[in-house]
Amino acid sequence: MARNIAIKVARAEKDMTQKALAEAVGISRQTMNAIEQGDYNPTIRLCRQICRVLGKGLDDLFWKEQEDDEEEEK
Amino acid sequence: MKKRKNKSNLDERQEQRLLRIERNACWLAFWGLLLAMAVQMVMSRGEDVRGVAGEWIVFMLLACYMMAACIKEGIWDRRLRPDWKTNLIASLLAGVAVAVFFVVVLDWETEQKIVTAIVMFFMTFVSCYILLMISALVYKKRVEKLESEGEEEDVGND
Repeated sequence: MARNIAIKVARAEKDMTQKALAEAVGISRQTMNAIEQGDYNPTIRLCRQICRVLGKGLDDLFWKEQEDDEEEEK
Repeated sequence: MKKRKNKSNLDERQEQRLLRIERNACWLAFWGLLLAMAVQMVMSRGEDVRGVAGEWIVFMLLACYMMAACIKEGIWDRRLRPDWKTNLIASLLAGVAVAVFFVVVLDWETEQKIVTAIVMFFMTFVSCYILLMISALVYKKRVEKLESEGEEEDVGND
């Protein structure tokens, strides 16, 4: 799975550390890191919570174009 | 201050990891118990049946729980299908395994051992096949029920 750069950027815009975002969402920093590194695929419930804290939509943080997925599979 | 009494300390990723660890531990216990029983039987040359009673009870409880829970959820197996061919092959393999086990374990005369092994093969094969076919039938009925429950909900939502 590819890294989730969008979350990292949105977090930086809000001047939040991984720990702060993790605490705001109610998860561990390890999990937040795993999501950003693309090592963990969060549930839609957790995606919504992250979006709410960062003030972004699901599409902004988690949507990927089909071409991106195809590239990942290669 | 605690918000809820039963609130989990784990987030969803940790919960998934814990479930994976528990799954591995469950299979370790399952195969470990089977191995422990086999070793004990081999060491006692099949004489100490009472010695493995405890392990056998735990092993059967584990197996029965897993079977009942899977059927309740409408799950059979990741790869195997609940058809007569697969059940026949599985039963044959179980029969062969039991027959080989008896040949290895028993400290009797060769002729006696072979007769016992053949009898055990047929007993295991027949009982396994019947149990698998009954389980498959129950499983299919359960799946049908679960599928129809889903349909009713769909109709209700329209």
